[in-house]
Amino acid sequence: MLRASGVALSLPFLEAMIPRTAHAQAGKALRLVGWYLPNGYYRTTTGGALKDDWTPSGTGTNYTLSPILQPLLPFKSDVQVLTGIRNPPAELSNISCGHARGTGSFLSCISPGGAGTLGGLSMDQAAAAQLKQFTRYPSIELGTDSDGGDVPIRSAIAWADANTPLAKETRAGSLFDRLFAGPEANLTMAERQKRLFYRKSVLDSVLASANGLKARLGSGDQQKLDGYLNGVRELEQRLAAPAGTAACMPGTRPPPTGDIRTQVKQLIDVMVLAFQCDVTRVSTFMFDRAGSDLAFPFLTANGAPINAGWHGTSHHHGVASNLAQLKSILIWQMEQFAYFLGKLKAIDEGGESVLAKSCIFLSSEIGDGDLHEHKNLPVIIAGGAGGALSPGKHLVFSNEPHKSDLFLTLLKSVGVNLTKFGADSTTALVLS
Amino acid sequence: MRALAIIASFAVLVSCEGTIQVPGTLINGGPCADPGHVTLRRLNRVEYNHTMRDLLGDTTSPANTFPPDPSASFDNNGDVLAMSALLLELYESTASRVVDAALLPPAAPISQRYDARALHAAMCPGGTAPPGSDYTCFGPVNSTAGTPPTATLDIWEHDYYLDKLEAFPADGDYLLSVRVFQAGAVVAKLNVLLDGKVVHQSDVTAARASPATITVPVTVAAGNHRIQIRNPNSARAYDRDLGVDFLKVEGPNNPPNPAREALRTRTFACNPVTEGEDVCARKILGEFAHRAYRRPVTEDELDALVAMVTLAKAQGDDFQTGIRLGFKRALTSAEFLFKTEHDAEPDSVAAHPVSDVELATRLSYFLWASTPDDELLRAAEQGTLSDPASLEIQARRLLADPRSDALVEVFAAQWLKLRTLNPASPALDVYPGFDGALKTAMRDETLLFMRSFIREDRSALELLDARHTFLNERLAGHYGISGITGPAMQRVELTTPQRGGLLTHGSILTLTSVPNRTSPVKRGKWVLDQLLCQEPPPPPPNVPGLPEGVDATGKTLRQLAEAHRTNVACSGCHVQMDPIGFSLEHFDGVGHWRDKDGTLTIDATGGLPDGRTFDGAGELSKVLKDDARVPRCISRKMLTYAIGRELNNATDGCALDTLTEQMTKNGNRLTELALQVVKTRQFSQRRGALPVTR
Repeated sequence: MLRASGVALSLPFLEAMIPRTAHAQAGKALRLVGWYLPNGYYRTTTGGALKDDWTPSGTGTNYTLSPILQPLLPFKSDVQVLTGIRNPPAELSNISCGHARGTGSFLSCISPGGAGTLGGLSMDQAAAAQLKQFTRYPSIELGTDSDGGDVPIRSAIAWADANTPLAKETRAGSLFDRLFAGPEANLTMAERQKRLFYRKSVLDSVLASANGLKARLGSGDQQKLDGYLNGVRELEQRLAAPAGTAACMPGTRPPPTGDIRTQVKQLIDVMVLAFQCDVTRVSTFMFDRAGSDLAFPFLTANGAPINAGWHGTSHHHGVASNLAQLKSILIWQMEQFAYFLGKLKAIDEGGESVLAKSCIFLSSEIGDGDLHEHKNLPVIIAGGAGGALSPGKHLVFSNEPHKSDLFLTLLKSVGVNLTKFGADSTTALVLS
Repeated sequence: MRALAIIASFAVLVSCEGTIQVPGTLINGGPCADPGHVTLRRLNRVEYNHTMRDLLGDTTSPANTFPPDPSASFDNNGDVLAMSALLLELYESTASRVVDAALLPPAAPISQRYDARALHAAMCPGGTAPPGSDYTCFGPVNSTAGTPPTATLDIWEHDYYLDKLEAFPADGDYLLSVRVFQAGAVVAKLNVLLDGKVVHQSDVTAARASPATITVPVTVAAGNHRIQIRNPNSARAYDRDLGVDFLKVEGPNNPPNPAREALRTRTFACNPVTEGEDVCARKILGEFAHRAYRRPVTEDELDALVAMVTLAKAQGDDFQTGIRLGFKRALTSAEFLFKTEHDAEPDSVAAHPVSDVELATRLSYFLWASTPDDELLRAAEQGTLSDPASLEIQARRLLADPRSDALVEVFAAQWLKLRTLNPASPALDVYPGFDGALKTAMRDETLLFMRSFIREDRSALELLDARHTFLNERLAGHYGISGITGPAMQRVELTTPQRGGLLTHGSILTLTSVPNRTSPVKRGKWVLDQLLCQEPPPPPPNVPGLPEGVDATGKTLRQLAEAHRTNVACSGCHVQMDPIGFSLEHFDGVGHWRDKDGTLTIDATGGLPDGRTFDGAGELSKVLKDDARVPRCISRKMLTYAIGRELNNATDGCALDTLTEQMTKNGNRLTELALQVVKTRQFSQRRGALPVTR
């Protein structure tokens, strides 16, 4: 370690190394986000009347936001709500738990299997494979986690391939450190360069010997080692990207917190910052995991704090008190989403907001919580994808279009043109 | 109607929390000859922490900030563990940090004094601030016109400040000192900042003639950190300046770390000056990699490590920097991060023994959740470890070592599902006063209890009805037991019949509840899963809702749940689970004893399908103690943990038969069970994987 005594003031410590490749697309940096909420919503007939506080009334551009979606009112023209989407591969999986099936196929539209260990390429990673050429990080995976110990299909939504779930960062401070080189903030330029050189040398060296190791393994084990090899290569590429001259103001590192409200806001702040600084263009946010049984004591329903677990309540059986709790919880979730949209909308990039250049997919792994159905899924698409999407409407599909076809459309909107996705895509869904 | 909703939710809780069955396989020699295939697995968080502790003396548990490991029955399962880019980056940067913390030469403590004027001059070379800085330079005059300038500096307001980027040579506690005075007519204010955060603020009233020295203790990591001295007043009134004489930085002030010194001495025992750099590099790195890779290293592997020393030298850095780089490279390699096991023919499903060094890795990670020590590696490399007598000697040695506490903290904690106690958050309006300290005491009770069974070689069946436990004052009070004082956990001989055995532990009772009430179904399921290994099958799809209109007033949870058992679709599982859970209803959602459920009498009687009956936790525990499924279940849990894969009844059933028989013959002692597990074919052999079918 080098000593630096009597060092002159370095450049403002807020400067981070933001590499941009020589051919970065000026002005049209499109972003893609996947946002997961567990446990579905409610769509139930009790005493004859349909109780559904999620689905908006009216269709087309002239629709009314539902009670749960009220927090999105300031962004009504920036979002489109889709009703009737279905995910058949989840129905075909032999995993017995509906939450696990749905979560395991949430962004991948395949039938999860193995022993809860096999997923599939998720749509955000399909996008990252192409969009990473512009940024330092191919993607960032964030979320909260109540850590009870779970199989991967319940605790991850981003998958690089069938064998490789991507762990999510739950501490905003750790994420901040990684993205904005927090520990390096006070190093001189020379110190940073040397550190970089050493890191790259170590990575080159371990990559070479790991390739040798791979050749001696059976095919199943080779797949496990691939996760390591890809990780090394990705880190190498990131370190090799040239430093840019654009300054980015990440501000101060978010402090540790035990309050989920603060945690969610901090994670959203870092995600927004990552987009703003073009550190990445692809991200996923996963609230807790499949079958989340969190209580929300800071929320009330009918005047009482919500002390029952979310999962238990989501099996509502039409009981009014359960529906009231679910409504409160989902409204809070939409408030967090609205916070995210608001921050993106407030960033001006060459005359357009970052929201206008984003494509954000929010949904849950099931529709109605009682039925564990993988159809009638709650879907919101936020953002304009630089003009490729036309938000500001409620679309009701009566022919149960496949989620994989919707993903073809979303990927296309950010410039990723695939002809197939997941297990059952046919053609991109037309959103009108 | 709350209760009705609760009942309806019971059924589906079950299906979504079951464990996994791996599809069956058959190889030559019949099912019992199949040792199974363990998928290549990385070190998980706890294994990484322990390994860093044993390799480099690091006690900071660095992997605790990594994302949580996924888990099957246990989180060392090769099928669920994967390596992603995020994790790789964390392992890489952590290795770097831990190596530096362990092997950097002890830094000479610093004692630096910076005069205020000198600081300002450095910030304003030639009287102007560098472009891009947010600093405004100002002339060295004090506030009172005409008074001769002294060696101090009067700071006017918040965009004038003093700034120093200091190089702190090592992690530790330092002392910042600032000598200050009130320079004007109005009381001055002082803020001291470290890396942009205020670490001290106070008023300053000392007179110019006799300044005060303010000391600010800080704890920092090694590296550069920015110190600022600011006057937070924002009015340009010139009457409330802060006078500053000097800034001092001293430290670190921590006591020396003998373990760290010993490690450095041992690591750098070879003197590169007298013996030659190349010789020493090969010796030091060869020895370390041997331990890190858990086997002898090849010449090629050693060359790759020594190349790091050459690299550092070419950069103008010293020998020790090169050695540290070599260590970092070793700890970033797949050979360290993965427990590799080789099949001569990787895709063949013929069984073969694992090599001796692979066996050593399996043994130490089973009993210690950590890397083999030198003695175990030596036994393996002498080729004797696979000899049954040798293997037993080593296994006994590892069991006797304090590191086998891992069997309690890692194996037993997961077996008993203590990990799910972490997110449990009992509702404070129902259970006022429940807090982190109580939760910690509950966890400690169960862990210490388990530990006593291993250390004292007790019969595992007594886990159900032992008359001792471990309490501190807080937990004892929670249980209504008097006479225990202080925050430390102490061994207690129980005299009350209400308590005794795992089923009466606050930890188990709380983690099997929901935030605002007990969950008899969760409790029943816990017993079925963890003690009887009788996983209830998932409920049928589209479980029909219970009829509306059931009047919940005046009914206990139990009475309402009777509907489970009268409904044919539900009763198959519930007839097993519910009686168990309801027999524990005298314990509320946080393990308090209650005579009544509110105003309602509790009926804690129950019966199992085979006709056995019980009333309350004590009798249930006795019934379980006599249940032949319990020793088999414990054997199953331990074998699953030991080999890092889920079991398959067809091929692993024979091993379980043997383990159960041996365990029962040997007083049901957990240490005996561990020794028998080590003797199984599953533990000492392996084969390639079968093709994956979805």
